[in-house]
Amino acid sequence: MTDLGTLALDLAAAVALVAAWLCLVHTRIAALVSTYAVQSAAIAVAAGLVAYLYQAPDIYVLAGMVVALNVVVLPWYLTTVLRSLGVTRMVNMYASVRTSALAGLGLLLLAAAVVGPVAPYAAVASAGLLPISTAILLIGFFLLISRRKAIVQVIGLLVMNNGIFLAGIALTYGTGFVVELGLAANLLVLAIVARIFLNRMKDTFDTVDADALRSLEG
Amino acid sequence: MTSSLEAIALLAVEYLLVLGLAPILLGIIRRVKARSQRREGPSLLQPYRDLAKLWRKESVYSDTSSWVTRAAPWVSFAALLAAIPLVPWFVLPTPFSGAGDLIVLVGLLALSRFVIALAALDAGSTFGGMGSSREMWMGSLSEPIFLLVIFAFGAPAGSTQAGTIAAHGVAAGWGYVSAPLLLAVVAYVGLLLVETGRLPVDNPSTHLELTMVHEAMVLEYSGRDLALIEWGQGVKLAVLTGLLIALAVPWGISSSLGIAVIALALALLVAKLAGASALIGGLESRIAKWRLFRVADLTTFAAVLALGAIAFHYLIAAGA
Amino acid sequence: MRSVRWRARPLSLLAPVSTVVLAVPLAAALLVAISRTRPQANAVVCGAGFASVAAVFLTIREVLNEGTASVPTSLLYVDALSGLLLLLVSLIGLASVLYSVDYMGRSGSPHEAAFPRLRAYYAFVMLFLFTMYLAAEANNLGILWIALEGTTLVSALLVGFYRTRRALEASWKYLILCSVGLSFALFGTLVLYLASVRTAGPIASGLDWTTLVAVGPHLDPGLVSLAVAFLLIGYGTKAGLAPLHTWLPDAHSEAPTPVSALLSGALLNCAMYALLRVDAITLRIPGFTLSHWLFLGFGLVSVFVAAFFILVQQDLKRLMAYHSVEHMGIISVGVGFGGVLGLFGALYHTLNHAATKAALFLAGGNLALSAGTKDLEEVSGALAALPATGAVLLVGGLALAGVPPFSIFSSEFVILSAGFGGGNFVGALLLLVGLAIVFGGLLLHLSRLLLGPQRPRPFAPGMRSAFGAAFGIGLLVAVAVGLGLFLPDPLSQLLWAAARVVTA
Repeated sequence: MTDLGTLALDLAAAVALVAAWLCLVHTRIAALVSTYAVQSAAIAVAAGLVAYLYQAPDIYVLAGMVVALNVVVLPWYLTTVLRSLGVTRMVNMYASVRTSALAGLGLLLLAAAVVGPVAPYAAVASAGLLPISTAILLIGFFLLISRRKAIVQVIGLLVMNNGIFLAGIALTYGTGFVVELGLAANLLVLAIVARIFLNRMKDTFDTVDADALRSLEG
Repeated sequence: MTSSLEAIALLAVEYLLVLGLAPILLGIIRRVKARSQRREGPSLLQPYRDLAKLWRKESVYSDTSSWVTRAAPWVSFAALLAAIPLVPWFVLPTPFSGAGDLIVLVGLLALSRFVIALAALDAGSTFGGMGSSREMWMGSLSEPIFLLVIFAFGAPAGSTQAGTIAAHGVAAGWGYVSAPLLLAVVAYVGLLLVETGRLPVDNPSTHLELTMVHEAMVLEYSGRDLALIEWGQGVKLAVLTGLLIALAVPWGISSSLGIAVIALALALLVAKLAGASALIGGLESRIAKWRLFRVADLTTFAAVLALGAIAFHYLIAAGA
Repeated sequence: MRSVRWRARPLSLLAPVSTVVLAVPLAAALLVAISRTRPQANAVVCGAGFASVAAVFLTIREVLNEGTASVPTSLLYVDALSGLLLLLVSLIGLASVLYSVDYMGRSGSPHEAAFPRLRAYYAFVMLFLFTMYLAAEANNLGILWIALEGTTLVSALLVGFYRTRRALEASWKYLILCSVGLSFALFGTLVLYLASVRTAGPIASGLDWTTLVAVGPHLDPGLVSLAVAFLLIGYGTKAGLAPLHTWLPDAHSEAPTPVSALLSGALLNCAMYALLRVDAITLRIPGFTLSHWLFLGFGLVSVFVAAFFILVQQDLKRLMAYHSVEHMGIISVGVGFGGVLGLFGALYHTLNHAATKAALFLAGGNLALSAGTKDLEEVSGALAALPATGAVLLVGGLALAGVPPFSIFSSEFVILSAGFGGGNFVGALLLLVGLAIVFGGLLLHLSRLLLGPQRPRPFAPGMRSAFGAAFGIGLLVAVAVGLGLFLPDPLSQLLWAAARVVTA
């Protein structure tokens, strides 16, 4: 019988997975942003649990960082971007909701197939953590390539980052503080750079639909 | 092992309990929704009064209707009554559990839905036809996926008998909780909303012709027939909620027949049912009605969750 | 090389010279940001360009003498491979900065930028150079990743410097695609870390190159396979390997010309450098061949995809961009052939391609400036109209096509002989076919561009008076041509040492 802590860890990962799937079926950007925040919170909880279960106090710092950055700052930031750009509320998709949802399932299976063989090597004794985090990575990628609005593509990238973070926790409880600090800084800079681009896009094209960006081919 | 006499006694308690509690579950949901809208809302007992009032009234039938209209409420209600023993309510093993598994339960629910849809067509009114077309379309989406969800719940126990799954859960204790279980529960809740016609799929408290589904089917009914149908809605909600409780949080279901244990299990069951109803009400008050076609999105998502849970169980959790 | 045993003692009393390499562009970025006038800003960046080259030379000298350069912290590590990348980045950085000053920096220059924007441009170029130097000097593969992601963020802003629709589109595509690629690379890095701590124990330095190389022979092949797949996809995107190259032609063609040169000559090689580090770790595992097949496969696909697009290309800068894809493919094939010879060839080719391509971009920018268009259909007879620029394009183009005696011919020859010598006949033959197609396509474009009759569109005078730009281009051409004729001894030592860092 598994112990309670690992159980909670599994559940937190499952919540993150469901949130990733939800990102694929949401049709409103605001819902997407809040789901991203929920996913980040679940991942922060997972990080906290790992820190507790494996006596790795520096992971607490990481969990706190995730809460501060991914749960609070970035969603708030995205919301202000949405407001200031006057983006319409809907997510425009290349793939329909149903196709996306089924793709989400396929990506979980793919992730299980790809990382299945190495999952037992993960440092954290939770069988689902590595496949789930890989699935979140792939789902974020799918979100990015199947949605038309630039801001949704940014959210896809952020979801990918959440997957990677969870994988980092699952595999090794973190890769050293300097590296993680750098990752967080990168995420922040990415968000800022993306905002600069969104502003310019708004000025130049009067839309933040990445569909407007289709003149360069060949 | 329970003797047949004991089994009959337990069954009687189950029927009393479910038939008696069904209206109050609707009352709880309405009260929660009213509170979330800053209204006082009707008394919890209001559904009982409504049912009693309808029961005393005469049923009026359209001239163009046949015996189908007259028989349908009774057949539908009977199908729901037959589903009650398939759910482990408060004691394990379930009395008469050999009567059928959850696949039978899905079939019975489908039967009860089917006869009502048939009756709605019988009188030949436009609303009835529209309602039954929508209802059957939703049913065709939700029923196969309901089976998937049942498989997702049944995978760890290796059974589709609700009693066996619940017994497995009670025996495993905390070990029963897992990521696949969480996925299955979320999928089940989504389907529950579709099956019982709650928001965002159907709004039970509207008679707006553009949006109503179930209400459109039963517009022709009145008096005792309508009372049966409304009561049946409550029973269906109770059965589906009770099943969710038995599959998701089976702890507390008694495995022996001591009076004290049974009493505790009963109290727990009532508390869980009330809590679940309140949650449904809370959930409903947070969602707006969706366009009809989005129901397919919801059921697809439930299917993804259910298949994900099954895959998780066999591919990932088993591999560890 | 006994004669060069002079050491950078005076400088290294203050700080190791490898740190100076990092500090110079960072300091320059700050100074530029607070500069008040154009001449001040121009002076700062030019000074930084020259100072960087000097510091890099000193660092390389130290590497050649000692094997590694001294570093202040274990987060950094400088060996011959790093030295080679430092050399590339600093040379191309210098040329591109000098060109920038003439192209957009001085008042009256053809693409003159308003001063606050010029200041931002310079600052970002300096930060871009800093992130690339950091990539070269990182010991920890996590820091390497951060540096590469940093290059993406900074250079995306540079690519979108002209806020036109096309530039915006190119930079957005670049930012998103490379960030996605790097996300995959990060995942691969994490898996590699897992492999490392499983062997070396739970140590914080598990991602350090020094640790990974030490524990290399004992790493778990299953984990490393997974890591390598993700890392190759990730850094391969950034290195412009097909089929993940789609951002590259856009970004290269829409960026300001000096930035195109930096992207093609320096940035792609930073990603390739990361791939080489990964390859080096996998080479330590006995019997592990997955990465070589991946390098070979990605490389050949890149060569052929690029060959197709080169044949049908209409745009001068996109033409060169697809050549970058082709040459990154050739380098990757060289790495795939493996062996000290294959790697020597690949590294040698890296150097040659970087210098040639940067020179071509800069000269091409000059041509486009005079002709007023980058459309190959509308420009011809450039050699007669612009003798100096035309000559650079002719020489560079021939070199790029792999005509002897230019340097690219030499390195392609080395790579092919590594292929045939190592028994990879099919791979080497395919590479030859691809090179032949590209050769034909390029000569076709070149002959029309340079030698054909003058088209109605007149040529305006280019940057004739610009000494700095000419110096920068001349420097690169000298490297591109000279290295084919004669490989100086220290450079040859550096290349062999770098190849052995990978294969050892």
